[in-house]
Amino acid sequence: MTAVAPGAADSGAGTDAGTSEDLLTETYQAHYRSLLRLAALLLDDLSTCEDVVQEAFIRVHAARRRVREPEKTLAYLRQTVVNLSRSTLRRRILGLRLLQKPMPDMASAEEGAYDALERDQLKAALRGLQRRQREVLVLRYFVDMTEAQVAETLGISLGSVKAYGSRGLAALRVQMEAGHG
Amino acid sequence: MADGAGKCNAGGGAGDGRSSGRDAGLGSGLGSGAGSGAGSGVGPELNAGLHAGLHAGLDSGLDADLDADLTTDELIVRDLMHRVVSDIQPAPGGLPRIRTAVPRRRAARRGAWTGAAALAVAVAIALPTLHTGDHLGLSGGPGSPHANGPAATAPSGTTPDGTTVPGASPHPDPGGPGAGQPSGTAGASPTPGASSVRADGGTTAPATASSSGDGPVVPLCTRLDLGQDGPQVGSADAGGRIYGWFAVTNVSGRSCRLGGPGAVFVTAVSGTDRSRIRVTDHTAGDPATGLPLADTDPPVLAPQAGYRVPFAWIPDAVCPTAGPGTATAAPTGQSGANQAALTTQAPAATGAPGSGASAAPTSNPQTSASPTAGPTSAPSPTATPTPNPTAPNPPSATIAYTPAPGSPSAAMAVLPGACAGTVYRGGLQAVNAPTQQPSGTPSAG
Repeated sequence: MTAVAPGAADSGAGTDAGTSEDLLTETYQAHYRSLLRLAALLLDDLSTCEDVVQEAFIRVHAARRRVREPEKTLAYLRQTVVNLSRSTLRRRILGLRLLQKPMPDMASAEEGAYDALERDQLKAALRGLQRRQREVLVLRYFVDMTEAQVAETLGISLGSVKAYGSRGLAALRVQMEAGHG
Repeated sequence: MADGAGKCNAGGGAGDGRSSGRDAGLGSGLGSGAGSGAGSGVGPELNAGLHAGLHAGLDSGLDADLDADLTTDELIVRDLMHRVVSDIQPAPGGLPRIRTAVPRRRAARRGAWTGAAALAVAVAIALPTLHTGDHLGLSGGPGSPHANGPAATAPSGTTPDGTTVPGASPHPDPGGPGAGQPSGTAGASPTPGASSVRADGGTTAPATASSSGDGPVVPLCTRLDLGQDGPQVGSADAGGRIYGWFAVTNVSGRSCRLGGPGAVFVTAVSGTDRSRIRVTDHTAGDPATGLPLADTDPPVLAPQAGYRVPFAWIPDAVCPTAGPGTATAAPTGQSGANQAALTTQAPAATGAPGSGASAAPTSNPQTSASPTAGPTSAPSPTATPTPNPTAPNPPSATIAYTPAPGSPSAAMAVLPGACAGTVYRGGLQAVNAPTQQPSGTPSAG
């Protein structure tokens, strides 16, 4: 339960090269949980977190070229999760779901945790941010990326990362105070 | 507020350094508190405490340091983020689901690439064939509606007769891929008209004659049955006419019936406009007098027997790219020499192509039209030995033939000196055995 951050923060290149099958298992065990939490912070709709992260795993591991670079696998996974979360948000605007199939076993077992998260005020505050601001803050502070890494992952400039970050923090502060008071 | 923060820390079990930093709202203890270990057991109480603590930190931080001490905020936000999602655990079954989906996705990616490649190949094959308007011999040529009439309608028109035959078939061919088709076309072979017409068209293979007399079910030739021999292109005569043929052999071990005459079409041109090269079937009265008529039935091919598709290139009187002045300036000797140099068969400058030619060989302005098209044409590597220094590289056209099943893929024949004119396709000529092929020009009319 306490192994929250290390998977996301520390072991960026911790997987050994091997067959793709072993690599998949290793990557899953090392990073799935942190990626799931990353998706939970990025997404409004928590029921799609598992879908998004699993889709990211499938995409990255289906591309053998990416699997051949195990040291970059986590970076690819994070980038894919961010992009999928973004497109999920977009599709929700259009009234669509990324994946039609709901997760059957998630609803009952994890309902409590997700409910708690839903009620969480930070979550509500994050929801009020612009998409880019939220992505920068989550990558910067939850994943503990440097600003340069955030810029690379999101495909934007370093200056944009700084701007989104500072404005996002300010907006978050306003949101939290408004929500609290 | 400090109470709230304290409760949060007690419940979450976070480090001392961070708790002091948060309580003070300043960056004093940030160095030690930078670790990202988050608390366990986040519950409603803890959440409330966290919010209070965050609020306190933000407030005090803002109050104390308005400028840019965002580090406190950043630390608090980071801590909050980790705590907020700390209870989220993967649902069971994720790894098996991914493990089964990855190979499927890989196969889908491969399938997408394969499909795209197959589509590209299909388009590349179909486009030039459809371009000629006479693809695969299924329809008549554009210029001669009656020429292909018997050949095209014979297989389908006699279906009721054919359906009664298969039960009494004396030698059904084992495993023929076209086994479903011959029943409909079998009726064409017993008709007396077919054999007589074929006799008019040229030599008839003995196997062909016997099979048509018996009325057996002979399957259609599939694309695996036929092999193309090299095409023959004769030398141009003084009128610029070129005769030649495509040859196809039944390379399978069984007899088969051609489903149609196949298609002759232009595949490429060099130094001229493609629209100036027309392809049509030979009919009585057209300039291609050396060709057999195209109204013969497609023959039945015994094993190792084959057939030829004769064709003739009849140039137009005037090449549109050549001015009339250049046409008159060219002597006939130049044209003959030029064309002879371009053909691979006849080194002699004159006389070789004379068998099928009926036009006046000399002093005809029409004859010099084709070679004098050169000044505006692209250079051709085969034109070097021309004796006349003023004779430039002439244009050429490449034609191809595809048998009725669509394969083997078209054999190419280059028509040197083709600037503008018509390719006439004559009637099919059966060839009994590969060793009996006569040499020289295909037919003498």
